[in-house]
Amino acid sequence: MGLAGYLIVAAILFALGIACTVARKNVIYVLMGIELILNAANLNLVAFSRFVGGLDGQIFAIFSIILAAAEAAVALAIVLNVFGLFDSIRPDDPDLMKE
Amino acid sequence: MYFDYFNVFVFLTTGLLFVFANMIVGGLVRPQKPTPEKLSPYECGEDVIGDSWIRFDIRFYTTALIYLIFAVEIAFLFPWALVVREIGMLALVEGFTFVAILLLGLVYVWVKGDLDWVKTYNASVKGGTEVEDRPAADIHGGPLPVELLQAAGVGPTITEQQTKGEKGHS
Amino acid sequence: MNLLREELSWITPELCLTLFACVALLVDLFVQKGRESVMVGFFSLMGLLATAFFLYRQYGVTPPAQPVFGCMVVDPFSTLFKLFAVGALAFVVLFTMLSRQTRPDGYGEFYFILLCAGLGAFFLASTYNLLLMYLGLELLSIASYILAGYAKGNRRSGEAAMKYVIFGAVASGVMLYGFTLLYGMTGSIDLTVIGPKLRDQFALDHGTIPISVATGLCLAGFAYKISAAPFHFWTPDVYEGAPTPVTTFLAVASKGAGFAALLRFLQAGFIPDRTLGGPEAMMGYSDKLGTLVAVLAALTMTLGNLAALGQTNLKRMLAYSSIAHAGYVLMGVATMNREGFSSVLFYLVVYYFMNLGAFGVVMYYANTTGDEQIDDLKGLGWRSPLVAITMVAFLVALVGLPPTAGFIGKWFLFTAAVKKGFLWLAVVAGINSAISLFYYFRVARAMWLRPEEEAKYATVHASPAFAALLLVLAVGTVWFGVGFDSLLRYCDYSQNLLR
Repeated sequence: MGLAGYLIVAAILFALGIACTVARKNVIYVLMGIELILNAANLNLVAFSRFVGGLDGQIFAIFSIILAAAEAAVALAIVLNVFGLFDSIRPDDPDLMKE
Repeated sequence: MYFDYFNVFVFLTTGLLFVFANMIVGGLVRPQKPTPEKLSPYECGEDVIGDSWIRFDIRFYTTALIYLIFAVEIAFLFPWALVVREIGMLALVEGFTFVAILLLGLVYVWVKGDLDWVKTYNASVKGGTEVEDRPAADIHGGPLPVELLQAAGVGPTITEQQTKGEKGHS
Repeated sequence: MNLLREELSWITPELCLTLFACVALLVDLFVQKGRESVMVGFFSLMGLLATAFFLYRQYGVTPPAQPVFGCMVVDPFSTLFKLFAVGALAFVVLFTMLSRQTRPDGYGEFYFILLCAGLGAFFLASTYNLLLMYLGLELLSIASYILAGYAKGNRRSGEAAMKYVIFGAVASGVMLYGFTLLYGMTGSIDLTVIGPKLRDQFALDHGTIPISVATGLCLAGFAYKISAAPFHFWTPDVYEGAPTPVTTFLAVASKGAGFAALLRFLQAGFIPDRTLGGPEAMMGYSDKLGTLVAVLAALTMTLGNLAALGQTNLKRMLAYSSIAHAGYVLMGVATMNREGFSSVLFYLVVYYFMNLGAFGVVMYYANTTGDEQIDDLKGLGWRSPLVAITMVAFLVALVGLPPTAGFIGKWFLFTAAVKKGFLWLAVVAGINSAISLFYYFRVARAMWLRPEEEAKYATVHASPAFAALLLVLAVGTVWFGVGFDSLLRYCDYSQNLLR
């Protein structure tokens, strides 16, 4: 398959990810949306690495996968904490601070 | 695009047909004698206890997190293992440094007792520590008790009007 | 092994910081219970001192173009920002230690995470490599998420952490996607290679849409880090909810590192070499990018200032004020030339002094009284004059009035913008500065222009060490307003070697 195919899939994933984060129903959905965005980027990296050149893209992808895992771990811990404090995982529910 | 979409189409259709054809044929041919045993989900041969949609104990979470870190670390170690012989000493030292730093984290949670199953769980979960709405003055949450501050000679001296008039700030 | 030693010698400060962070973690484990917090804090300070020493030794040395296997850059520009980060970290560590010497809790890992965040800022400021830049950004961000939610059981802190992590993760993901597009167009993740390659692409005249998309996505990530519009929504909530030492770190070190990376990104990738005369299309594109940043700058400062007007919470007001300041600094970025960039550096140094000071006063005030309301400051001037006087110095600098450094810094930003032809932007910034006078003045008025009897809190003693810290920052704020020559030369020099 050509490069364009991969790019289109990645772009669709990216758009889905953004849509998922903007919908803001549930923090877990938002985190899944973030994963989609990161995976879109990974797909791009690997595809470019294959078609444009260099191993840089693949190395970048490995690092980005691991960072995604680290970020997810921290984000989940924070969400867990928020759930304990507010009894809710809707991102809009905690709003103690408004002007 | 140097690509013939028809190939994909044929491949996809064949694949789908293969799956569904097998399922349909299987469904028509096989004998159907369901028992409760057969309908229960497969859990490595154990008897099923309860529903799977229960809330899991929060303590699994810590374990899962630590597993996550060490599982993902492998992604670095595989490429490293492929070339470690070529590069030699340098790569060996680097690899061990990497693992050592990760181990430091493991040792930290271990010594701090976060791996113990029966540690009195008093972390952020409600009911453990007191939940407060005050501004987070410091990394510990709200401000220090006044007596402590005054003992250290840094705190506010409460004015008289405050003690009798206003009921302090919230 | 020799090669390793040779290459690694250029990142001695980073290695030193890593080592001390790890040792701090070990110290936390093995020191007798009840003394960890002080011991670990002390150790972190030592580490920062050692790091500063190595940084100082690097100053003025001319290293090879890209040491450490072509990944890092060691130049006065990065050294300046690293010193920044070290100073801010030292201040936060010191304050955390001073404020809690009375409570024997084990909070060693706080310092560890703080040092890791500093390490992220180091890498962010000193690389042309997109991978390393992304790693630095994530290290800084992930550590900041944890720090923002550090006050366990405090609902504000928890809320701040959640908002920060959601916003930050999305923004960095978007930026990563932008990076991949840049990589795809040029086949390299090194900005020094990407720049010339982009120049070639402009010469081919394929149109600028793909490059614009990639740049826009990357800029989104940077805009989030420096809290510029339209990616500033997280700032007020996170700054208000996070523990105050953490807020200080976010407002000063994190933002500074974000600007460092932004400057490097723009300079390496998108500023045509005027002497060589890049292709016409690239010149045009660079100017267009400048105009875009200028519009963002105007938007950022106006939104920040207007929102700050109505605030009653001191910390939240300073959060909006820091958004407004990001707008002022972007004014220098928008010029897309050396003069503008060096004025950005100058202003960031000034910003560092005045914001550390202002947040320091908030820390001290909130920590002793548990109160962050501006109105409750009334009478503070008569009761604890030293703190109040230093606060006034910081406020005057934040407004940008002489004789403080804030004035000089803004002056350079304004002249750079006007010279480039952004007269309208300078006018907007001028109006904004006038608006900002109102809300900064409210704080000063509460402190001084109310009779002593109305004071809510009687004498709020500052511990001597803390008072000395504030005094140093205040003196710095005023000193750079008068004797700014050396600093200006240093900033200009840093720019010289940037490329």
